Amino acid sequence: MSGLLQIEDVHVEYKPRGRGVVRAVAGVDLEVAPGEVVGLVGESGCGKSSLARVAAGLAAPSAGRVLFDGAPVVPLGWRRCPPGQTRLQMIFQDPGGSLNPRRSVGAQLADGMRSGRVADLLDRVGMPHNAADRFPHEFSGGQRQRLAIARALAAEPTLLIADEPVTALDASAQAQVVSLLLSLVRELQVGLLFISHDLALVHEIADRTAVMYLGRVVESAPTRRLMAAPQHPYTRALVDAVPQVADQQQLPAVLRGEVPDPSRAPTGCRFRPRCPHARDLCRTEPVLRRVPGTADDGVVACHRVEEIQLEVQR
Amino acid sequence: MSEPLLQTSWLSVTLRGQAGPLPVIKGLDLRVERGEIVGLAGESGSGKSLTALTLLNLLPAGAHVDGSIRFDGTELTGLDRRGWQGVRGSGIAMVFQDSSAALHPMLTVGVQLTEHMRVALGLTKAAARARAIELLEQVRIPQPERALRSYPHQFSGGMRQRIAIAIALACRPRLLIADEPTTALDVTVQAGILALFDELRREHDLAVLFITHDLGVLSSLTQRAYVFYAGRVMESGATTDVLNRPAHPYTSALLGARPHGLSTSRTLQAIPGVPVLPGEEPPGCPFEPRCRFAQDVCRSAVPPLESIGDSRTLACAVQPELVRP
Repeated sequence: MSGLLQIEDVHVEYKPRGRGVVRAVAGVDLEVAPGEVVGLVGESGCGKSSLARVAAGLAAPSAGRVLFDGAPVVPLGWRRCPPGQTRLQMIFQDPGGSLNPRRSVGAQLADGMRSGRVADLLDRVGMPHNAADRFPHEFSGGQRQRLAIARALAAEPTLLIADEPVTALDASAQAQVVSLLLSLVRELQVGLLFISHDLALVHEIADRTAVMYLGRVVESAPTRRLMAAPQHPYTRALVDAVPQVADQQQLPAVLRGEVPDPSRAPTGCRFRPRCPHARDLCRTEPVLRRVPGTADDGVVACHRVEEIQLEVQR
Repeated sequence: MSEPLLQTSWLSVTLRGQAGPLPVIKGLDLRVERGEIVGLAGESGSGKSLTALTLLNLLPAGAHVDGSIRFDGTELTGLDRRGWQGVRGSGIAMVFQDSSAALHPMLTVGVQLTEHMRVALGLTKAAARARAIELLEQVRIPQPERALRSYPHQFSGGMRQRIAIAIALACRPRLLIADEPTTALDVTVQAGILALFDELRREHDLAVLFITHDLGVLSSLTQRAYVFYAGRVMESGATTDVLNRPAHPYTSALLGARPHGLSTSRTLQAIPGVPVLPGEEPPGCPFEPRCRFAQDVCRSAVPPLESIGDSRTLACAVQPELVRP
C-alpha cells in the first residue's frame, strides 16, 4: 500500500438532542500519498470538516478506521499520542485561534521542535527572524497563518491536513499561503489533504480531488479532469456555479433546491431530489465505480453516468 | 442625458484616529445609473465598506465628510437626522455580509419585515403583511406565510440572506448597496443570490452598488466596476474591459493572485508586500511600493484619475502595457 494516510469506510455520527442521528460522514474511503495534494470539496454541511477531524485524530469515527503510515490514528485525549502520530499535523481556518496570544511566536515554535533552530523554521515560511520575539496579534492574518504552518512544521510532519486554511484571508495573502503549502509538498515530499469549499483554489493546488455530498464521496479523480469533464451531476453543478472572469457578463448556473438536513438524508442516491437527471433507478444507492470511457483512475457514484455522457455530447 | 441616480464628487472621508485625523477615502467620484449594477472591488482595508457606510451616513462618531453626494436629484451631504431617515430604506438600502448579524435572533421574520414598512410607508398591519408575503415570494422564499412566523435561525445561510434582501427591498429603494453579500456562502448558494440581484435589476429597474473582492463575481454580475486601493479609485470602466484588458498594474496583480477560472491552470502570483494602511500611505501612488512597474515619477505625486477613452478612467503615471495574466 502506497498510502501515507488511508481512510477506510469511515463513518461519523452525531446524536443531537431532539433530532435523529446525524450521519455527517457515511462511509468514506480516501488515500493521500507522500508528496501528493488531495483536495476535498463540498458545500457546508457535507461532512468534510468532520472527516478532517477524524483523519487528524481529533475525534473518533463511529465506524471504519484511519491509518497513518500503517498504524491506526488514535484520537487525542484517550491517552498520550503515540510519537509517530505527531508526524501528522493539522492547519485550521483561523490562525488566530491556533496560536497562543500570550506567548511569543518563538516560544510556541520551540515547543514542538524535534531539532534545529526556530530561525530556520521562520525562513521556511518566509517570515523574518525577529518574528520569534513578537506575539501573534502583531501580525496580519496571512502572516499568522504562515506562523501556524511553521508551528505545524516544527514537528517535521510527513502529512498535513489543512481545513479551509486560506478562507479567512485576502486574495494576495491567499496566494502567498497556497504557494507556501505547495512548495512544502514539493520540497519536503509531505502529503497534503487540502479541504476547501473554493473549487477554483483546489483546482490550482490539488493533484487529485474528491467531491463530498451529504457525507459521501460522489466523485474522485485527477483534479484537471474532474473540473474539465465532471462526471457526477453534482460535480458539474459545483463547477458551473463558480463565477468566472469571462469575456462577457455571464451569471453562474443555479442548482435547484438546498442541501437536505443530514438527519433526514434522502434514500438511494442522496443527490436525487436536486438532480436534473434523476430517474426511478436512482432510488437505489449507487456505489463508486470507474468512470467509463476515461483513461484515468477516476471514480464516480452515479447510476446514469453513461447516459449523461451521451446527453452532454449531444 | 438625465442625471445619474447616484453621483459623488470629490468625496473624502476622514476618521478620527488615535494619532490625529485619518483620511480613508480620498476624492472619490462614483456614479451609478438607474437599473445598473456597479461593482466596487479591492482588498480588505481599501475603503470599499466605508464608502457604503458614507452613502448611508452610518460612519462612526467624529468622521468628517467632504465633497458631494447627489442621489436622485438631492444633495445628501449636510442633511439632518430627519433628512437621512427619509433616504435610508426608501431611497438607499443596504444588505450586509453577515445575515445572521443583520437579523434580530429573537424576533420573527414577520416582525422584522413589516416593522419599518408600517412606519415608513404608513401601511396598516394587514397591508404590511400582504406586502411582506409578496416580498418573500419575490426573493424566492418557499412557503412565505410560514416563513413570517419563523425565526432567523430556522433558515439556512442562503435563505437568511434572501430574507435580509427582502427587508432591504421593503420600502422600494432605488439603490441597493450590497457589501460582500455572498462571501460567506457556498458557490451553489451564491449563484442563486447573484441570479436574484440580476432579476431585481431587470424586472424592477433596481440599481445595485455591489461590493466584492471576488473578481469572478464582479465579472458575472456587474456592468461597470471601480477598482479600489487605499481609499482611491485605481481604475474604472465597463467590467469586461477592466478585467480582460486591465490598465492598472494593481488590477492586473489582483487578477494574477486569484484563480479566475477552471479552464486553465497557472501559478498564482502573490502581490508582494502588504496592503498599505490608512495614515501610512507613501507620498506618491499608494500602490507604488508593491508595483513592479514603479518608476521615479510614481514616488513624487499621486497620479490623478484620468479618462483613457472607452468610458474608462485610470490613475497611473506609467501606464505600462499589460496583458491579462
